[in-house]
Amino acid sequence: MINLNCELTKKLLINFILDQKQKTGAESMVFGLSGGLDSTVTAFLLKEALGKNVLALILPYGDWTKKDVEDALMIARELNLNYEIYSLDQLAVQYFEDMQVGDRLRQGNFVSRLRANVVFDFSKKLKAIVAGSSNKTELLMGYGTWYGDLAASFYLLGDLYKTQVRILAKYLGVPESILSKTPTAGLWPGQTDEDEMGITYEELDKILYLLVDKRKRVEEVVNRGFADNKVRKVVNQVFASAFKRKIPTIPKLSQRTIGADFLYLKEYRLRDSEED
Amino acid sequence: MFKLGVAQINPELNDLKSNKEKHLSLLERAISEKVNVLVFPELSLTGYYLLDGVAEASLPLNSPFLNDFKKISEKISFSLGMIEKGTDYNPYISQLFFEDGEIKGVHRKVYLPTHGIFEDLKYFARGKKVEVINSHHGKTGMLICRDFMHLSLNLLLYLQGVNVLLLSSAIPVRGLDKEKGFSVKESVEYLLRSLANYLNVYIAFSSRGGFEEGIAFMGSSLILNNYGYIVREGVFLEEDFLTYPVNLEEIYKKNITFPLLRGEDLLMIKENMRFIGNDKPEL
Repeated sequence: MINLNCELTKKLLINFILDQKQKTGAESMVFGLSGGLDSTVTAFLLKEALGKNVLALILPYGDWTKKDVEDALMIARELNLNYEIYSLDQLAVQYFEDMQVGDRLRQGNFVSRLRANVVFDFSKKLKAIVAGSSNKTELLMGYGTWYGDLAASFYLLGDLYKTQVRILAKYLGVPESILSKTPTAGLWPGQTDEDEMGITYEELDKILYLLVDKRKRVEEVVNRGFADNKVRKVVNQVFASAFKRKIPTIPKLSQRTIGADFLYLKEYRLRDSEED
Repeated sequence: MFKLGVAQINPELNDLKSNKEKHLSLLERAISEKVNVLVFPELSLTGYYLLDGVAEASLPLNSPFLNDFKKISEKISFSLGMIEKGTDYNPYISQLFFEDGEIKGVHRKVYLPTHGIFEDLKYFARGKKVEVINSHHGKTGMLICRDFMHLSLNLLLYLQGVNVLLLSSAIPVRGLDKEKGFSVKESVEYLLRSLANYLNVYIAFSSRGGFEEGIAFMGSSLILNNYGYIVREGVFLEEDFLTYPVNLEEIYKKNITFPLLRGEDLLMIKENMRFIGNDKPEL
């Protein structure tokens, strides 16, 4: 079942951060620090890899996020992180009033994208790249705002299920107060991931692990004691959210089409011919 | 006695010039440490995931770019990896063996994995030949990554009397596990320990480190003696340099005490091979 080799995982992720910095030529990295578990783990790893060359952006909206802001500040201070704090209240409220946006999901997504705007603006200012904190559970379920919190140069924790992020967090020494927090996307007051998805992370991760990592069929997962309707709901959600994990679809017209048959790694560069 | 070495490097993708500099400086280091045979990883001159960049990164065997390697091979024997532009105008994943100022042997990767994260057969042609090289340091066989996981190719080298296996890899880290570390490393160690012991060969396994996009390569190179023991081990992920003194007389000693090879019945094997696969395949 799901476990984690924390020592090797930490080494791999820290080496990965350094490799990304070197290959992109970035001078530093920026990331959004919410005070939740994922961004805190990201903070610990970035700080250890990059030291001073990382900036945490704490970008609250609404008075109901006070506790999260305090947690984020606590982490920033504990890790001696460079950070900026900027409230999105004024920007967001202005728009919501002008456009009469009352729907909480629209509001939440809008704020998430505002946050991405600020993070990317700082990345330009600092010649930095943006580290994303989304985990494998969220990415598979599409539980994130497209071009909002999902906007990033890389997802540091993108191959770790939420329960594995928790294991790694303990290993890294993340404070108990963060570990014991209820996971939330923070889109509206009182929102929690588990309520909204209708399943606990513990159960969800087990189902996803069997389906994805172990390539089990739905029936096989159900036979292991998971409710049929739950498993099917998860499967449907994984495929329905595929659009958030891929580049936008391009209708193929030419001989070589981006994403289809124009295939290079991001780090590929053309060099002078060796035959000259 | 001779000294066997492994250069565990992290090549820059498609940067043949800087990779060549790295090779030459490690060869100089090896010479200064009196290493006689040095092995570089799979595609050590080019990097692994070239994808649509395969043609740009390929070189014919007569390319002047390789002259520096020929020259330095007057002082040391070594194997390096590159994309070979074949005289048949096909691209191959090749491992070149340099000795005495020339390319003494070429192995073209035979088994090209094309599943999951692997796309070798999409971009490369298959090698068709497995041949032992008569080096100054024993009969030497080269295999590239997936090749050595096929027992068939090891058997071909074994029946040609191979003494030293030079294995070159670019193995993506996967299957991180709490107890086992990561599954692919464990399985390679099992395999190589058995091969070294039962084929009575020394093995230098050169496995690249570093990243290409999100893929990490495991490093963790190995040198094994002919009793199946791991005698040197490279670090995880990063670059490393291993050396080990080899005594081919140990192969003779083991052949006296545990004579497997001379017990082989080549004629019987050949005869059986004629029949295997002759049945009509089920469609």
